[in-house]
Amino acid sequence: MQNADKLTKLASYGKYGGYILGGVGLAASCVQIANEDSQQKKNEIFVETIASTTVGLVGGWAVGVFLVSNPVGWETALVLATGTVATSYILGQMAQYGYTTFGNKVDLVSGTGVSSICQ
Amino acid sequence: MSITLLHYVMDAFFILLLTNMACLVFIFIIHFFVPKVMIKTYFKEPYFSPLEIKLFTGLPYAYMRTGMMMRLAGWPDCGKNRGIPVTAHEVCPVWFQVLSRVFIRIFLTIVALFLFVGVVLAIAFTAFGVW
Repeated sequence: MQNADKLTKLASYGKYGGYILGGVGLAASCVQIANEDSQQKKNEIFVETIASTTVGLVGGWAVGVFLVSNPVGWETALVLATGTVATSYILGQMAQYGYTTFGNKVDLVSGTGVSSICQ
Repeated sequence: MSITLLHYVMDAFFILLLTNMACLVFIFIIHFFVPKVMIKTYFKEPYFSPLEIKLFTGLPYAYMRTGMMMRLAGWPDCGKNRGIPVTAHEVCPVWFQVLSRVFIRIFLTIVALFLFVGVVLAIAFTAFGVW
């Protein structure tokens, strides 16, 4: 019973961790966009944030699909979570480089209205 | 690899990124159509641990539960390790079973292609000294 309580608490911490990581990450990007003077830099931050968030969410869903047939312990879950975060970071960086090199004529920040939200 | 070819690979990367976003929108919509009876019958102990039940209920990870239920609907014997009976798919409508089988296949193909293009780009970026 005590163990079940501990696990439930652990799950709550995991949920709060998700809220904090997601919320802080997006808010930090918004602040960065607001503080940046160069439109090019604003777009780079935006592309990186969108790409890494998408990859993180997609990776999470893929892990969910895998979890139903393979129940894992918290150690494996930690490895999977770290792997997803690392992949989303790398692919986010890649998207940023891609934008800088090939797509910098497109002003995504103004086009999507992000510049009016993050100011 | 020439710069022109790298341009094409980069285009493929962004197209796949947009497709991944479209998949997320689809997952968000289908989340509300997962048969409640399936969640009530199988998303509970002893099939799932209390930690998993608590973690994958409500925001922000409930969408992962949708993935689990879709896999279970499309591939009934995948829950064997958890002790979920192979008849689990019978509680959900046929359209959900078919949709799950089709969507998960498409989703995994897109993710695999995206990762492959990502690896190709990583190699190219390293070769060109872009990093």
